[in-house]
Amino acid sequence: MITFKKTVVFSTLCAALISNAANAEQVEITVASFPNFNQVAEAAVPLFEKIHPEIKVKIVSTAYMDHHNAMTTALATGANLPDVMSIEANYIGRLAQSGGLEPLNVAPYNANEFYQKITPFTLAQGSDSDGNLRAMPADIGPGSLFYRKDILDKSGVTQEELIKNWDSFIDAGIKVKEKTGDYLLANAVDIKDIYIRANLKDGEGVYFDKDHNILVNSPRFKEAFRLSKKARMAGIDAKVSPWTNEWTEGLKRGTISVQMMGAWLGGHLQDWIAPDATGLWRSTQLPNGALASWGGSFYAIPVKAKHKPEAWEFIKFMSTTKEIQLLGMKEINAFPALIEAQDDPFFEEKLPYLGNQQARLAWKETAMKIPSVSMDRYDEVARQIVSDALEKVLEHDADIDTVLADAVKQIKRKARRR
Amino acid sequence: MASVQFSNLEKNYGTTPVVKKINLEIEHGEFIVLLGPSGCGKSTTLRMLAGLESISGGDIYIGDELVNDLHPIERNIAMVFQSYALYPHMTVAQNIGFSLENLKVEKSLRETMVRDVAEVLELTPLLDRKPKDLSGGQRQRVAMGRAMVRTPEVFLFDEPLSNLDAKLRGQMRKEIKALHQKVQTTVIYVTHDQVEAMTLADRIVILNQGKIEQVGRPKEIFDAPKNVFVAKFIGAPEMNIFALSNEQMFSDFELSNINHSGMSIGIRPQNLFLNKKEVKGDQISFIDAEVTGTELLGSSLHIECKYQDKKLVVETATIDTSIKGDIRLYFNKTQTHLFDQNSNTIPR
Amino acid sequence: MNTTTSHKVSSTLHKVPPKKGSLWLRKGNKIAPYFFISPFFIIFGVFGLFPLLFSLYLSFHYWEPAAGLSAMEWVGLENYVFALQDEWFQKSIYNTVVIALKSGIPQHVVAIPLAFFIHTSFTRWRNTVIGVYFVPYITSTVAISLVFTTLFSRDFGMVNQVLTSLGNFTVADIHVLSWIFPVNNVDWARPEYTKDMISFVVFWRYVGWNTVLYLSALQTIPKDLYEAAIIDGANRYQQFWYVTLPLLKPMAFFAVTLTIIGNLQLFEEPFIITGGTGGIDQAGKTAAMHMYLTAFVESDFGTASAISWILFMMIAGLTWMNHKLLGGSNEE
Repeated sequence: MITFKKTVVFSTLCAALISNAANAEQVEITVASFPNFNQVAEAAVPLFEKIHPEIKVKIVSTAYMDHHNAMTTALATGANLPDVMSIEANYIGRLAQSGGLEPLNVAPYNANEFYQKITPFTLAQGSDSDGNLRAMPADIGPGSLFYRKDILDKSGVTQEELIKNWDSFIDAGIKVKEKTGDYLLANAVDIKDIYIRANLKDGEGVYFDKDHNILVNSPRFKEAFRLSKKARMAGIDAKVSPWTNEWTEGLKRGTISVQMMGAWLGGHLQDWIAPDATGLWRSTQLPNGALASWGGSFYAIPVKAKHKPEAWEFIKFMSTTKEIQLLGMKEINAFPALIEAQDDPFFEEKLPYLGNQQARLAWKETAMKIPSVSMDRYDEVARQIVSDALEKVLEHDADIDTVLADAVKQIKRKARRR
Repeated sequence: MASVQFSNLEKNYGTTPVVKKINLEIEHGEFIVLLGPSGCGKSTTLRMLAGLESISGGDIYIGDELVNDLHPIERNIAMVFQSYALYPHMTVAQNIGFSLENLKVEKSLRETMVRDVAEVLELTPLLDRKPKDLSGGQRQRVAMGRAMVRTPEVFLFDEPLSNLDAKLRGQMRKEIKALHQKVQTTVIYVTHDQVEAMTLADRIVILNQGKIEQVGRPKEIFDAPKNVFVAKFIGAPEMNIFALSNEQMFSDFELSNINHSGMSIGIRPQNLFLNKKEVKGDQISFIDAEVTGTELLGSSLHIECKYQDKKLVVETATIDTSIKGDIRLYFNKTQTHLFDQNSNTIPR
Repeated sequence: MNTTTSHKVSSTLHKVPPKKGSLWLRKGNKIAPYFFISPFFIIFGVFGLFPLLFSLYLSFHYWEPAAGLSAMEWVGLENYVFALQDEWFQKSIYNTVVIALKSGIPQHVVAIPLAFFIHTSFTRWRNTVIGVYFVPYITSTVAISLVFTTLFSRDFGMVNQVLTSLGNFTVADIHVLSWIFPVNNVDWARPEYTKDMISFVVFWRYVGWNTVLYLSALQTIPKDLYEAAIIDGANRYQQFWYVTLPLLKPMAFFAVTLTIIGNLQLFEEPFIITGGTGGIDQAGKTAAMHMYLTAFVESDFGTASAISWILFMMIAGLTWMNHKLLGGSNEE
């Protein structure tokens, strides 16, 4: 009896020890994310855990704005930091410059090995002003112009006329308005947003150059403002902001016939904004050969994270595995940052929703051409001041030169602690 | 001319009758006190007269005018509330003058009128104060001033002294009495305090359960109560009333010649005496009782006794708390009250 | 094992001289109350006092929060000076004051008569009616703002549908009502309407709350006073004006103070209605929103803290003025 008991105790103990050892080896990493970017990670985790049984992944997802506020606070206090931090393009400039994130291009991460495999412009987005990669790109948003072919046909406007240059774009809008009464675009402000990003050279910033000089009072901005104003005066914009009820309804009912946005808008149109409009929409380049990007997501490792090697494994898996990148495309229309994924036959498919266009190939082409715009910590501040200035022009008929000169002064004030 | 007449006045709350067909005529300049226990309908009657309560049935006349459907202000009455209901944010002068303001009396005239009333009520130095800075008695006078300033045809008082302490109450009673003699207006005064009723009233109306039990001058009510309720309600300590249940009692009260079953007899504690010579009049009789206890009230002594198997209270000026055992109680036969089986007084 | 430990314990207990033991007990009795009351002080300290003092401290610093706590840099009053000279801050203060007045004044002007009406006209259904008015107050701001943005939607909103159908109402081919109602859809997102729309939502949301406050004050006014006023010949209007209103003054002081504090801190409604941007031309950006955007968009926590303290001082000042205006009645 006694021996039996002893054996039992011993074996149980051994088993416990072994399982303990296994537990000790398994590391749990936390991934902080936001909807619906989190869906990609959630779909990928089972695959990742199969390959890396020693790593357990816990995904914590909060609303878009809350997530980024929480991350800012976490970096500030060094508490509650996740191992992997998801960052959206709007916040990347600020967080990449903060110094709170690991530089990934150097050892032990050596992300520079992957540089050739990733769409170039997005690497610049994830880098700080010294050229260190602070966040690994996961998806991108190559800019595209979506239009309602039926409405343009009815108005006698061709695609060439629409995108030849901005003045012809506006003229096309006037025709559409005359013939159908529909608006060409949601908001005249869109033109400014694209124009100031278009035709930048690699390494140039939108609002600041490399030496933090303010570029706002320049011909680029003046022309952007002029075009926006012209469009507004022509009455071709619906004066609605994206993602409002008016906007989605306008797109659904076709009262807004053109929308310039990230390529992923195609997915949104098809899925919920205008699911009944199959075959009516087309995608093409932005007017005047403009190249721009909308949105994009990144993964970063906080300097004070606990499980950096494991976090890096996860990020590599998400950003550099073709299958996972394609998974993101299929799950949430997230356009892959990984070039390899863009070469998949999936990209050659004809899209019935867009009248059997091979639109993905075109987007891919655009993505490769988008210049690497350098990001600045005060980009968001400058963006606000500039759009405020434009509103003065559009709403109160203010002088463009004056408001831009004022904007420069304001940016200088706000960026006083460079 | 402001007489007041109630004819078949009724008030029901839902199906519950509160005032049951009251008929009463009040003459001009009379001081009438509505007296009764709480819930007897006296306040409701007053409020119907004031116009604060709707009438379920019957008529109210002020003077010769039917006022059933008139607004309070059209009835030309004034009312003093139990809580005084002074406007706390107004000064004494504003409180008194408020009704004049509503009546659009010219400002200078208004001020004179307020001043006159304040003079009468000795409120002049207090005119600029607010109610919270006044004593209870002063507030009471302001409430009266507010009623007086309009020179109404009828004054209504709804238990105006019940919030005052006993000493002030006595003083205010005198003031109200004096005031009435000065203004000679009809006053209808509701109270549950019989002392107020006795001292103030020209006539007392005793109400019970929505009905009038007796109307009469204070002395009349006290000396000749119409029934057991009135007899017990008026006078303190209350009248000793007990059923005549055996022959001994009939003979003690010399009632053997009256043959009536279910009768009771009543005698006030003040009318029972320990010594024969204290009794006034000549129809003196006595009963034998046994002392069970005493209660000293300072100037008088209440002796609790047992007569046959009935309890009796005797009030005497003789302060002797050591009194014990059997005593003989003398009384004047004319000061006894006989009640029939319906509790109504049998006139003698 | 167990036995030895307990033995040891008991033996040590025995060794302790009784006097010392009782001394400890007496001390314990002195400490106990502090122990029991400590949860409040700990929670208040952590969630109340610390953030308060930290934000004060922060307001004198420049801090890039993403760089960690060590990145703080003393700048003295610079943040305050900057905030006060900032065009956007001035504009946001202007917006706040305009919205506060446009939503605050109607709140009280409507709530007092409404409370009086409910108080005098309803007996059995009173609580239900109050409940109906109170519902907006306890409804989530997000839901309210979404409902209102939908209602005020330019092309598809019910408000415009009603207004334009009135404006286009025709009698014999003439738009008879077009001089008062619009013929075309009104774009409520225009900067000239933003503040009105926000004010309306705020008004709608808090009028029930104020009604409840005033109603509770009305219920404390003795019935006698109204009866006395009736006897004194006051009609309903005079009763309201001369009896009700003066006696509501203490509650009015309280309610107006709450409105001042609430409206100067207005954040949720304009934030959601304008989609977090402050609206076109920043027409709906309140001071609290400006503070938030300064902190979380511009990442300038020092200036944001300074703004919050400036705001605090303004609220304190206005509350004091309100006290002088409405609160001092009892001292007269």
